[in-house]
Formats: sequence, C-alpha cells, structure tokens
Amino acid sequence: MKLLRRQFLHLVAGAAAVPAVSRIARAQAYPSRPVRLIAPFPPGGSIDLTSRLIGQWLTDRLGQPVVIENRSGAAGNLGSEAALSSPPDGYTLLLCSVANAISATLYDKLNYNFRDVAPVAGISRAPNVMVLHPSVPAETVPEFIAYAKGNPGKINMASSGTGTSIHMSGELFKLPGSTCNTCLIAVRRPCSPTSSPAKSRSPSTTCNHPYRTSRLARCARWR
Amino acid sequence: MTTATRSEALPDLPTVGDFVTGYEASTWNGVCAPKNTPADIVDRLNREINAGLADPRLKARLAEMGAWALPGSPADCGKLIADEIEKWGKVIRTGNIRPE
Repeated sequence: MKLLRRQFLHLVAGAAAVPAVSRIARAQAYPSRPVRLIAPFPPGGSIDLTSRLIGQWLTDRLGQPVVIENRSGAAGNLGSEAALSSPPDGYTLLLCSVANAISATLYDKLNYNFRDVAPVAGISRAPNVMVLHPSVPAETVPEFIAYAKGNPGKINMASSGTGTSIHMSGELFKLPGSTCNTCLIAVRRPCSPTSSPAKSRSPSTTCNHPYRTSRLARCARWR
Repeated sequence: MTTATRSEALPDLPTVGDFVTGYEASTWNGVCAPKNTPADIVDRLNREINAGLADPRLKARLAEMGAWALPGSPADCGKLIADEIEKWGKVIRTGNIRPE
C-alpha cells in the first residue's frame, strides 16, 4: 500500500511539473516563426519609426524576423483592433501609444479594450512643445496666461487632430482647476504642424494661430 | 516642454509644469499584446526590449527623434497604460470632447 501511495505521489509531482516544463520549453522555442508588430499609423510617422527601430532590434535578438505591419486608420484604432484581437500567442504585437489611452475614452464603441491587454514594455517618451505665433506679445508661459486672460475667447490653438496628444496637451492646459481655466482658449484643428507624415514636408506657413503645440522633432527643425 | 522634465535636445527650454503646477503631457509608446498572451513570452519580449533601451546606439536614435527611453517591467507598462487612460479620460469628460 505504501509503495502505491509513493508511486501515486510521484505521479502527482510529475504532473505538477509538466506545465512548468512546457512553459520553459515554449519560452525557449519562441519565436519559431516571424512575429508581426502592428504599427497602427502610416509609414514615416513617429510610431512607424519607433516600431522599425525596436522591430530591427528584436529581429536581431530573437533570431526571427519581426515584421512591421502599418495598419493605419481611425486614429490608430483599426490597427490596434487587428493586433489585440489576434491569437494571444506572442506572434502578433501592437506598437501602442498615448493615442490608445486617449481613444479608450474618446470613442464609445471600440472593438477592442485597451484596459484589458497584456502590457509588454514601454519604449519611449517625448514631449510636445508649446509654441506661439510671433504676433503674440508673450515670451513665457506666465506672460501667455496673462495675455490669454486679457483676451478671452480670442486665442485659437491648432493641433494635428481631435484626440491627438497635441490636442490633449492643449485641453489639459485649460482644464478647470489649472491656472489657465479662465483663458478660454479654443482648441481647433484647421491647419497644423503635425507628426503625421502626410504633412511633415509642409510646415504650417499658412497657419497663424497664436498657440499650438508640436512635436519636439519638428519644432527643433524649425529653428 | 509639456513633459515633466526638460529635454536633452532643448535643455534651455522650460517645462509648462514649471509654471502650471502638475501639468504633464507627453507622447509615449510601448509594446503590448493581446490579453492572455503567456507571461513567459511577455517576459522574454520585455527583457529583449529593455536590453535595447539600454543600448547606446538605440538610445541615440531615440534622442534624434526628440524622445528618451522608457524602460521598465510589464507591470510598469501596465501602470502607465492605466494611469494614462484615467488621466486623459478625465480631460475628455471634463472638456466634453467628442470625436469628429
């Protein structure tokens, strides 16, 4: 009887060890075929450039091609949906960004839930930059706030689109409770500097909105 | 600068937060996967990406784009996602912002 019991316990221990062994085996085997990294914005933009940078790195490290797939549209939500509704096997990944965090609230009906993903790793962070049209008599943020309070309703801000990080940077600036809640800045997007590749060769010479934020890389190029 | 800290690319430029207490807005990106992706695969990818973010050549490329590396664990990435959803959700609801 004792022998049987010992054999039984041995079997139980063996069974318990199987999942751990298979996990190790899987991790060692992964990836055994190319990995898709979906960049949900068009080629040439910052998301695309970042995906290619990290994709090449992972290709070299993993020993399998990490293929960048640009699936743009609907503020990045088309590609995000495609990636996040793929089988959870590590062979489809998403280059996610602040755009996903904004879309999670901005859009009522998304076919994916950014609150319920498998986070893997951060890659990079970059600032937006607040710039003023030269006609605005302000050199600093406090001077601009004073000017905006003295000219309620007259300040327009250009951004690269509703729901973009640049748009949100402006909205945050005039959030109730902030020092600028009486500035009455209208955040509009009639024309804009942008990180969008389609416009990246046309600095907004026709724009004369006095307040806008832009991606650092573009701002630096203007100097 | 809309970020909490100044940028190495333009070190003389102050942050908005220097004047507007608590102001912080940044563009960030990362890698995520469909939910239920096995943790061992997530951990492997996380290790490799963090190794990349510590690599001087890759850091230099990020700097050329005006960005800096955002290393950390999968849990750190998850916290960033949760915090940013909450932050921008509040801004969107408060401003009654609607998609166009």
